[in-house]
Amino acid sequence: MHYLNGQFQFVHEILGPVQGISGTSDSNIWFANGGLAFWNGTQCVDYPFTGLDPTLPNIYPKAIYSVWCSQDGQVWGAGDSGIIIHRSTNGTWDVQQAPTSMQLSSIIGFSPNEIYAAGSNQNCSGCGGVLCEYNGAMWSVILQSQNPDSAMSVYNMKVGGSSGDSLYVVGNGVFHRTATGWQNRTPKQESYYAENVCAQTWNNVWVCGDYGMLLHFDGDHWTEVGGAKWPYSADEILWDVYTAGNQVFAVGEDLTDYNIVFINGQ
Amino acid sequence: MQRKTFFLFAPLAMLIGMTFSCRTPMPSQPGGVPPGHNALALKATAVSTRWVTLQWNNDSTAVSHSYILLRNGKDTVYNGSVAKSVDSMTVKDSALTPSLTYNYSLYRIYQNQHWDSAVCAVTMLDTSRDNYNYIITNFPGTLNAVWSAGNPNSVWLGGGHG
Repeated sequence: MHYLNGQFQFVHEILGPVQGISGTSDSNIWFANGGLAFWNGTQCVDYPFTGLDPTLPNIYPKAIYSVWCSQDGQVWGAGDSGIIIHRSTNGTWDVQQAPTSMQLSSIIGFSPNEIYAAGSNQNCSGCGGVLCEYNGAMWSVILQSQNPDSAMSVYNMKVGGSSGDSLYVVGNGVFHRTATGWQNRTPKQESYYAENVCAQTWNNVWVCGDYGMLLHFDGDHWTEVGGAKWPYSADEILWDVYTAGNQVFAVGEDLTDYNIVFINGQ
Repeated sequence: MQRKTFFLFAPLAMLIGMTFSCRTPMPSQPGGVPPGHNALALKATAVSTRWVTLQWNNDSTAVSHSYILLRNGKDTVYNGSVAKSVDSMTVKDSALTPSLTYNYSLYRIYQNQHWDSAVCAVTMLDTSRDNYNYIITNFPGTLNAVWSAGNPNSVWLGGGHG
């Protein structure tokens, strides 16, 4: 769906729910929908990795839930059991493997040599999370959170940030990695699970989550702009948040009527 | 042509300058200070919704390294000396109000007078306005992902049917 000049437009229907989006322009967008799908501005091309197309890798029954693409045309999709699907600049696909059995549901990159993917154990809520890093040659685990009681415990983990030196992981808390290490930035307003994070700059960070939670960090303070302030907040989940220009967009679902929720503000 | 103009008016300008300096010495700029110092410059290096960091040069050749920084001409933000070895000084002013503009004045103090000064106006960021459109559509399903290339008038949404 395209929110164009204040209007919703249905653009294309693809198989499988879209869990992640990344792109470089309005005519170069990748969608993670179990496999991947590419929008070139006029049409959508599906890339299922289920064995139906012999020219594509077969990762079935694993699925891809998040995607990030670089300016040079490479694409990384992350999914079940640490699997990474990669498209090179010449259009060929290969399968990479992060050293984890967890489901990677979040991926962000700052260059083809610096990509981060986060995930959690989908079979055990609260059992931990993992953050993996790709250095251009291999994936490695840089944060493993297994013990919910530990000081640096993040489960239901998602990753975001404005650079590798200003990286955020969120879940049952908000943690910020700077050049000096990880710091707990969990705001007192965070009462529920955070589902995603978007950091435009170090002093413009947004966190969304359960019960309509939407938090903003201005570099000094956290402000709750969502949650109880919404007209209906008890039964909404905000799954993703993104900033464009001076505006913020958050999306999710209303669990009462099972309709989609869309928030736009500045 | 420009060079001729300069020669034509330079003696006149020097004469006027000498006349002014003799008749109305600036009370805030005491004499006897060494020449060659850099003019004081004040700038904001980071702005948030509630705080700002201000920076100025601490010219090592200046006769004085004592400064007073005022907010809106009345509230003292800084009053003290800076070591000669420090090239620049940074001060953080907090507890400000989003979207308001503050006028900062920096004075270099010498013999209880200000030798030179600099000003800087800073408008706090305003990301705290409660200005949000909250829409529960009548579209069944969920939106799981949102992305934009940077244009707030072109935002891509992805999800699934209910």
